[in-house]
Amino acid sequence: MDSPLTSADMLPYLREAARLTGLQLDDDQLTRVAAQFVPSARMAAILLDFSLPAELDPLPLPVLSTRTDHD
Amino acid sequence: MTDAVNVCSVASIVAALNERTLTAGQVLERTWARMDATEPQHNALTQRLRERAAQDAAVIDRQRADGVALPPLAGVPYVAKDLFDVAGIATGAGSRVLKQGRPALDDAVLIQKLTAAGAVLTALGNMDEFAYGFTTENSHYGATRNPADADRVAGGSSGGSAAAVASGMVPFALGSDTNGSIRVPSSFCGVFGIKPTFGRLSRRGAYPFVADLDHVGPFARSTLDLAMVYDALQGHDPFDPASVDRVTDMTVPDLERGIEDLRIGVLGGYFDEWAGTEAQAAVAHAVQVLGVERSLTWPRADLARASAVLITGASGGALHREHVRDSYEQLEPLSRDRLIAGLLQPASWFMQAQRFRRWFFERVMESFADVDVLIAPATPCCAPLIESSTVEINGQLLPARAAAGLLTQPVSFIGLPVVAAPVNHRALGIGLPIGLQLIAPPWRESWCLRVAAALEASGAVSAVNPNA
Repeated sequence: MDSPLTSADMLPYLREAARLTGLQLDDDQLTRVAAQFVPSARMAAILLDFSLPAELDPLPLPVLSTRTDHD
Repeated sequence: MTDAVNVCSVASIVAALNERTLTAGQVLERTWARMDATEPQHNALTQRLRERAAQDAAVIDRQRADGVALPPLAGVPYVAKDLFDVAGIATGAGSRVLKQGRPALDDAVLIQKLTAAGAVLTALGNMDEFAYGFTTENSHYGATRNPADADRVAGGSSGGSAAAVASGMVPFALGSDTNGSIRVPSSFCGVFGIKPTFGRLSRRGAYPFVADLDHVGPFARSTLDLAMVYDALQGHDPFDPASVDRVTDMTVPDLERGIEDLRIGVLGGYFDEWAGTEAQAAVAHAVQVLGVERSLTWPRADLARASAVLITGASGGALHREHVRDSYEQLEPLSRDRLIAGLLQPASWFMQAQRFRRWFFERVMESFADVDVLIAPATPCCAPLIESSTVEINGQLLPARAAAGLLTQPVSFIGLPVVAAPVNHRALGIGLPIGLQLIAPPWRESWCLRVAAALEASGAVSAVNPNA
């Protein structure tokens, strides 16, 4: 990210995403959502910059549950 | 004679019933009296279950009169977080919308197990709506107030359960923990709690939040009580997709084994950076008491926390899409906008978080080559004031409600077992309760409990005095 994300930056995306998700939110509602969305977007930006090997599968926790390393 | 029995203790009640110094009915009467006296100050409960509790207590007293051997938790009253199904009652999960739904047909599996063990369900505990919060500031039911200081939050989302135990209403309670919802209120209220390994305890009949992060577990006032309840809750459930078919590991017999064979370390790095003064003092004291010399760090614990936040938002938001669409005005204002923000996240965030989870899990497992149990603070600070919007941690101003989970989220993110143990805060000159996390590799709850028991025996950890 070249400059810090702001709530205003997020509004066009959130408006469209809400519509595609079946939600009807007015501008006041979207603005409040944007304020909550920005911290997640900042975290996601750092996470997406973290390089992971292509062969690394996702780990949903039920997979963890079958491990027996410490049995 | 009966007045001498400590009705805040699971072990004492069980002993009193077996020794015939107290009946289950008498224990229940004392519970109601305690609730009458303390609930107005704490707002820990959403509903009392007088008729059901009286029937369950009568069953225990009849068994005793008939000379039948009593079950392991005979006559012990408890509170369950308001997200566990109770037959005949609509499961609320702290929500007004869900409370308008149909009554549950059966008890949740953990409640069934506790009934079979002789425990008596007395009330439902307050919580953050849909378990999405760390403070139990519920706009529908009011905030639960911390028994140690009524101006402060009890922690969440299982705050009602923790406050009920801390205030001495009941000797144990059930909660759930997706990102810290047992460990945070344990720390803020000054009681013990256990978040077992993901897949250890059945979640069937507990209202879901995040399918691959949800855990359930108990609170109690001592390590022995916690272990007694935890042992009664164990057992495979073929109808919970996450439940793992393992031999149950009874922990009570191991509590007295000591810790000489356990290698104990302290988690530094991220867990030190985000620990405030009180949290650092709590860890330092435990390290000193146990003679811990190993310190290690988990790489990119910050990203583990970020990933937990993103997975929670996406899963929780998706789960409640129809509630947002159809019942917007009835949802909790403190979490509604976060739910929507999570629902609208790009899928790539969620997938990167799930992929990172494997990377992080593998690095953490490597760390357990050198240690068996790790110590970390449970919360960055003591309980903030109700309605606080920010807290200061080591000079940084953070959102109060989100910051409470900074130190718990990287641990539950990979499903490790944790016991939350309240330090003897007064002995350390700390004004409010604060807790430790005792963390072990998967399936080693017994190791966490043994370290907790050793710290308790030394006086370094203890539950708050409900009569203080």
